[in-house]
Amino acid sequence: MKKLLTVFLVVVLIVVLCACSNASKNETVTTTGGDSEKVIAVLPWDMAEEFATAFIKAAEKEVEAKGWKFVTYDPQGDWNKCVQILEDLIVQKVDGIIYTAIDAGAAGLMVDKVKEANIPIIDYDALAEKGNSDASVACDDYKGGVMAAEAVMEALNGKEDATVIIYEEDPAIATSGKRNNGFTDYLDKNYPNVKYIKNRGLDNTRDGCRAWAVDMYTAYPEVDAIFAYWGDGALGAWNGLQQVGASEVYVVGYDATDEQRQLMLDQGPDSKFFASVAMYPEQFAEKTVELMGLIFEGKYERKGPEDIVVFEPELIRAKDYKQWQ
Amino acid sequence: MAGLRKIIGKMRNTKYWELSGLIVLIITYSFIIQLNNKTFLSFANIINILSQIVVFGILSCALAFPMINGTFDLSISSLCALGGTTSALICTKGLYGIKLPFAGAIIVSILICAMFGAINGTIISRTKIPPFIVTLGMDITIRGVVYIVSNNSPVGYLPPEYLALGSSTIYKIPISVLIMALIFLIVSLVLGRTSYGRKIYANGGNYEASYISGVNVKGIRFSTYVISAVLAAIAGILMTARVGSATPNAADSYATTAISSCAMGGVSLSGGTGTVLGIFLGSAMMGMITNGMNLMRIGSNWQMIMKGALMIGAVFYSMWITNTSKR
Repeated sequence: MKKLLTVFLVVVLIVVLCACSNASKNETVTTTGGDSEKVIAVLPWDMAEEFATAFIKAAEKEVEAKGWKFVTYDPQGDWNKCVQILEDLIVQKVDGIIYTAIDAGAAGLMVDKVKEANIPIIDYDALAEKGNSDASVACDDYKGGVMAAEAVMEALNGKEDATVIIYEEDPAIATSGKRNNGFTDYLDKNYPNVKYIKNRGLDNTRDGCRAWAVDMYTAYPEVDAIFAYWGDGALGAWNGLQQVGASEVYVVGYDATDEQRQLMLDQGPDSKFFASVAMYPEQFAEKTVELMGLIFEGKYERKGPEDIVVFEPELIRAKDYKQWQ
Repeated sequence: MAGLRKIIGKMRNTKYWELSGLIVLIITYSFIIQLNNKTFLSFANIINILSQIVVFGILSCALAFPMINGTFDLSISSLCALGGTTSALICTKGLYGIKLPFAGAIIVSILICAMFGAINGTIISRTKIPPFIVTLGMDITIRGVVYIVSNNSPVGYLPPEYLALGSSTIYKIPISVLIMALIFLIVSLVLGRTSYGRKIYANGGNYEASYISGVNVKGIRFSTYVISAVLAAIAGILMTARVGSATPNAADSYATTAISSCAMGGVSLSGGTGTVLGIFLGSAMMGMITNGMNLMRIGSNWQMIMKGALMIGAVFYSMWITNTSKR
């Protein structure tokens, strides 16, 4: 009986592993059977984020178009997990890695390890501080913050003594700091009497941001607008405000994800979800994969840490829906 | 054949027999992965797996003390983060004015974590508050402390000697792996060969009988939490050395992994049983699951399903073998 049970468990293990392997190959590994089947691994920040998912989908298309194999793993926003995955990729000897530096300070060390293994590595969005990746692609986050601030003041018709709540940056996320700095610098320079409050919750999920917005509205009932530097933050804040009936408070978000755009369309041109700063994940994906191809061909060599491909953000306003719908 | 039967017969009477299922699982799993990817059992990958299990392997050892003693410690993941963060701060920017060289930073951070372990031990041994609740509360509290001392930022720019702990090798084996091996050896000797270790098992097996027998049950219980905290601190230091910075959200779900490793390795949730070999095999299995599925290019979502399924299967088999052996 014990032997039978052992054999049964082993068979179950084999079947499950094979099933998982086939299922995941259908989901994540595709090949068009090109001449050089290079394997490109793409690591987002966290697959639970809409921007990351959009990037992955676009990157998969771009990689397939070149006849390469695409693999992706989810570090779930955890640098330790990302390190583990990168180490596994080094052992696997993949041909190229596209990733985002969850810990910008420590990422440089891992980039060195990957490069020692002769694997080209490109970072996008959040970049390694050391600037030692083979290529870097980013958005002008500071400018995005400035655009968001301009949108807030436009929504408030330039109200001099407005009260604005900003979801405080995470010191571990360099892009959040740049966006918020652009936002506050614009206000300091152009609307010095505007009162802005920086605060953040413990829970960065959408539900956590919803609860945070409810608490902030309770603490600051005079608030005129809320700015959150990423998609889930903005949508969570919006949901929270609707929950407490704060229909007069404007929200300006970031990433301009499909869900945010749909919200603006549904609310109409007078939407209180006034605007969102767009970064186009498809652009990032196209550029990073293009650069990977150039690196393989020896046609691209980074000139130094300052040599970064920078995309300009774009402001999407609810009232301009006819242009971007 | 008769010789083999004799060996199996002898093994059946040892406490290691319940690990047979886990061993079969490891062998089968390795075989399947190796078939799909020839690099799985390569030296480089085995070293890779061992490097990756350093942190939760040591955390499993940390958890083993209170678990075998019949209690629980959910605060090990935040203690791990605290150990990493305080040691990184003390040898870089300074921690509230305390700035020391690397060796001093290690000692002070271990003492800080030991202090929190002592708080856990005092509350649990002196009150009737369930250990689960105490350590859960302390886990949240300590995490808050980590965020405060680090100002919510990662602590990087570590000194070279700190980074060397995570990257240096001796005969191609990382120092962190050797430290983990040493810790497992010491824990094995303490639990298996000392009267102190026997008292821990006795406490976990039957607390009242131990008390009546004259064992200082409260003192033993207290000490297990201090040891747990010290080991968690060491795990945190090694993790920081490996990744190059101390992040305040480090080791967030590692307590769950440590519990899984202990459970797979035969440590009973009610206390009194468990072997260090089992804990090591459980940790190795958890590391192999992630590594193997990465090599097979199985996505993260399916990995979670596999981990859960394998954990349940291994623990079920271990418990079943133990129960049938007792009949």
